[in-house]
Amino acid sequence: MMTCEEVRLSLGAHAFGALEPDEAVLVEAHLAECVACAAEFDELSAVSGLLGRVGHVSESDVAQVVSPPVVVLDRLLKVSAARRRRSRLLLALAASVVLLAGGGAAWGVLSGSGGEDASIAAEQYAASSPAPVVSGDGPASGAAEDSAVLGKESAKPETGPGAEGAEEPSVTAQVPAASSPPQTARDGGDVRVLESASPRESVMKAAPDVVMSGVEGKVTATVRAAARATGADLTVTVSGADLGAVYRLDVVGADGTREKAGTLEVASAADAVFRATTTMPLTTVVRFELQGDGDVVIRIPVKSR
Amino acid sequence: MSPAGTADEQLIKALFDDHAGPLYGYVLRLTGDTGRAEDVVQETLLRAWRHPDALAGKPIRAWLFTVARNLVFDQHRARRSRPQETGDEALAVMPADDELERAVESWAVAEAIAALRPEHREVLVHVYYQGRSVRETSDALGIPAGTVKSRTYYALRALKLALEERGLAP
Ligand SMILES: [Zn+2]
Repeated sequence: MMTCEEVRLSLGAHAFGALEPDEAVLVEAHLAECVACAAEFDELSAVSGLLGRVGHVSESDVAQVVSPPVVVLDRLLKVSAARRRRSRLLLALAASVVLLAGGGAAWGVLSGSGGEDASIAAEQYAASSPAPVVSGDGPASGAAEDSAVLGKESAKPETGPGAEGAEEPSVTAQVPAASSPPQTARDGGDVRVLESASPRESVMKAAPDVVMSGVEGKVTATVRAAARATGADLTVTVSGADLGAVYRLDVVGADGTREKAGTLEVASAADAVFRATTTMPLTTVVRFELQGDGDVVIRIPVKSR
Repeated sequence: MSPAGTADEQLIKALFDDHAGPLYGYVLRLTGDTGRAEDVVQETLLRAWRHPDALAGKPIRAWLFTVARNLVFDQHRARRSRPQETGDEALAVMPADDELERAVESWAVAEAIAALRPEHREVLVHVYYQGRSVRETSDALGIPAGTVKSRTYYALRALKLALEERGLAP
């Protein structure tokens, strides 16, 4: 006769029908007489029964659960680190250049090289109306008001919620706490800009979006550029890139000047779309460059118009 | 390293540890391709990390499986450009159906088995998956029959607990 203790330890194997026939008979005889062991067997049978019900869990499935690909974790951490780098870059940028849009108008806030020279350029345009011609010189040694003059004869938008602002520019741009408070330069109807970047001729004409592409290996990159008062808004689409790949977007001017417009991290299995801005006028841009790991460079030439 | 970065890394590691295994197994079944399965798992966890608000109040495992499945089927369709930061809501919208529910349950079972101590998992593999008797398992593993029996018993008891922890009362 089997004791309860002996039977208990055999119940697991019995629930799978793994006992030798002679022992199985002995166990069944005990279960018929012992309520406690029978209850225990019912519990264990329910567990083995559940395994049978979700029958398509296989041995290899279990192995996969035990050891998911660690490469995924590595890439996730890499994306997270890239995002952190980018966040720091954006924070650094926010301290000197802030572009704010609202009510159909946009204000470019450009701080000068010295805190005292900071001024606001309140240049208004409706997103879809012809943009005004902007010309600016580099920073002069004199007063901020003299350093650059913005022509705004044609700045009045034809339509749009920003129309009344053209008559009476209301400078309501919010200044993030991170940046030093800029002074507002307003002189009658004139709006002035202090260009803090390297001295260069900056001319912007009204132009439709420009779309151009570049291919390198299996990766295709497309840049859609929309001219803005101080440069251009860029929408970059990257297809075929490896997940986790990080690219640096450079804007290259005709005179060889190079501006870093942003860092892109490919975090999507589908086409990855990024937005960036450049302060370089679109008319002076000869190409965009996406620089990846190693020596990978995707060149995206701008066709002459 | 900034505290925020550390928190991000901790969250990513926690998401990976808690869900990558079952999620990878599930996606691998759907794709049959390890590389693609890795990509989909990565993006699914990335979305969970970036949009914890999308997860609030929802069973995370079902959310992850839904997003992953939709990513897999999304890839079957013609490649099209869409902003990477949007579409999470659309991806997560999927009426609860039996197939998804069963998948979540199956992989929770696989996870519960995976969580067993190795020696318990080992006897289960022999006795359950390979349908071996106690004696055959004893021979295969080179351990006494009594040990096979006691391990099978404790494996089932531990499995019952692990299933209950995952809301799968047998
Ligand atoms: Zn008994």
